[in-house]
Amino acid sequence: MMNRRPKSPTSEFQDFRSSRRRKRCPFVTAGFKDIDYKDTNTLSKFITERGKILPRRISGVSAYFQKRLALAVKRARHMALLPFVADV
Amino acid sequence: MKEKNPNLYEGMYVLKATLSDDARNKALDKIKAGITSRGGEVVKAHDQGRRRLAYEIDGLKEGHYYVLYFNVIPAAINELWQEYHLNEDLIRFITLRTEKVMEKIEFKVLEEQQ
Repeated sequence: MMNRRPKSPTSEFQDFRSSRRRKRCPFVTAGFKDIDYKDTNTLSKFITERGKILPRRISGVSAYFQKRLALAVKRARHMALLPFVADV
Repeated sequence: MKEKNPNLYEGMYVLKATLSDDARNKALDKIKAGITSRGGEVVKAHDQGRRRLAYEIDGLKEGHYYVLYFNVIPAAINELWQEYHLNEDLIRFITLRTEKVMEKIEFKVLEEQQ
């Protein structure tokens, strides 16, 4: 269904993380169909303390869902469900 | 080519939390009336209750959230938006096309990965 880019096996960044396991997209694993802007509990797991959207190199979200996630976060921000910038 | 068939929309509305219950219900009725007067039909209304706003809007820190599902012809959406912009009790709104009505607003919990 979705193309998952194979990670280059020589990547030295893999050692950086304690495990060598390839990251799986949490949304694919959980069988999400779409990401809803009203679902602030889930969305807040993918934003930093500052309120920025986490890059998918950190979160492991697939490109397909990262797009949807970004759109949902932006909608939620508009509705003041999530902050544009949070005070630290 | 203009579409004449009604579409299903989902609207989220944030009303001022400073309003009294009466005034707030009136404001909600006004929103619903705006839809029905254009030949639309409100299918479902969710009262999400008071919620802290993630950031201050016009000095307000709290809002009362509503989610409405309604059928209306696409041409009416523009008019509705214009009306919403003039509505002072309404601090934020969003209207989106949607496929199905959510009977309950709750979501799957994403499990933490180890």
